[in-house]
Amino acid sequence: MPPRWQQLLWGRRPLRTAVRAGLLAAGCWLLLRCVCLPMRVEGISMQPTIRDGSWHLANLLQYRWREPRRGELVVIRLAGRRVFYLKRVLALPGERIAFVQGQLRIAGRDLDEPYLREHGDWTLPEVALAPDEYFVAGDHRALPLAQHKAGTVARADIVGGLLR
Amino acid sequence: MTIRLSTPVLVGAVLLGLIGAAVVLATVDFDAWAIRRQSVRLIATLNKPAGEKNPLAIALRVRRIRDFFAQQPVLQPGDPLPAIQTREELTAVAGQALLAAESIRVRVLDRELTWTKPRMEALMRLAVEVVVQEGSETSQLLRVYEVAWIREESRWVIARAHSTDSIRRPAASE
Repeated sequence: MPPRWQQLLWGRRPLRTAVRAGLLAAGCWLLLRCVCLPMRVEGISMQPTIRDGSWHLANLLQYRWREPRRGELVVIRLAGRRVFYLKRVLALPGERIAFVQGQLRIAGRDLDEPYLREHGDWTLPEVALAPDEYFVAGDHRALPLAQHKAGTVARADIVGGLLR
Repeated sequence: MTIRLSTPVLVGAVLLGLIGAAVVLATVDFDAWAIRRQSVRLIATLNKPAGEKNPLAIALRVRRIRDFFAQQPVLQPGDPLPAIQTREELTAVAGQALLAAESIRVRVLDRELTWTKPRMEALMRLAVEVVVQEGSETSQLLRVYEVAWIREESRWVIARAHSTDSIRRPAASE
C-alpha cells in the first residue's frame, strides 16, 4: 500500500491517473486551440461595448456553419493565431454602405445603431461591397475615421465570433 | 528498481534512439525553423537603440539589414517609406530611416508560414508593432507584411515583401 500522500497525488492506480490527466490536458488544449480562444482586448476602438484590457472568449466555430450577421462582433485574422482584430459587422456582402455625418446608411437607408454611445461625425462616400466582403468597424465613433481601423474584410479572414 | 545492461537492453535502447531520430527528422521542418530564426535576427537588427548616433554604427546596421535581402528585392514597406526595387535603394532608404529616427523598436506580434508548391519559396505573414521616436514625437504602428523568402547561396533571404492588412480602407473613403 503506497503512502497516503502518494495516494492523494496519484490515486490507487498511477497509470490510470496519468492516462486520465493526459486525456484531460489534450481535451483542454483542443478546446482552447480550436473552439474557444481566450483573448485580452488591447485598445479603445470597441468602447463602450468592450473595455480596454478586458478578457473574452472567441468562438472559432461560430461561422463554420453560418455566415456573420449585421451587428455581430467578429474576430478577424491578422497573421497567425496569437493576435486578432475584434470588430462589429456593419454591412454584408453585396450591400452598399455609407456614413453621413456619423449616420450609418445601408443601401441609401439610415440604420439605427443602439450599441453606440456617440455617433461621431464619420463621413464615407457610398461603397459597394464585393460578394465575399463585409464592412467592419469599432463602436468608438468619437475617434476620427482616420485614426480608426474600419473598412472591408474578406470572409476568409473572419475566423470567429465573440462567445462572451 | 534495477536495470541490467544486457545486449537486448542495449539493442532496444539503440532502436528507440533511432526511431526517435527518424521521427524528429520526418516531422521537424528545418527550413521553416531556419526562416523563423532569420526573421528573428532581422527584427533584432531593425531595432535601433536610443543612444545610437554614430554614422559608422548606423552604416554597419544598414549593411547587416541588407544581407537579409535577395539581390533584387521588391519591397513595399508602406507609408511613409517608398517602394524599393534594388539593394542600393534599400541601403539608401534604410540609412535615411535609421538616421532620421531617434530610436526604432520592432516587436513581432504574430507570424504564419506557408510553402508554395513546389517548395521553392516560403510565404510568411508577419504582424509587427513598430514604435518610432523622432525628436519629441513617438509614433506607434501596427503593420502586417507578406514576406516571400527564397534560398540564395544556401541562406534564406527576402525576395519580396509588402505591407498588407485584413481590414482594408475603401478607396472612396475620406
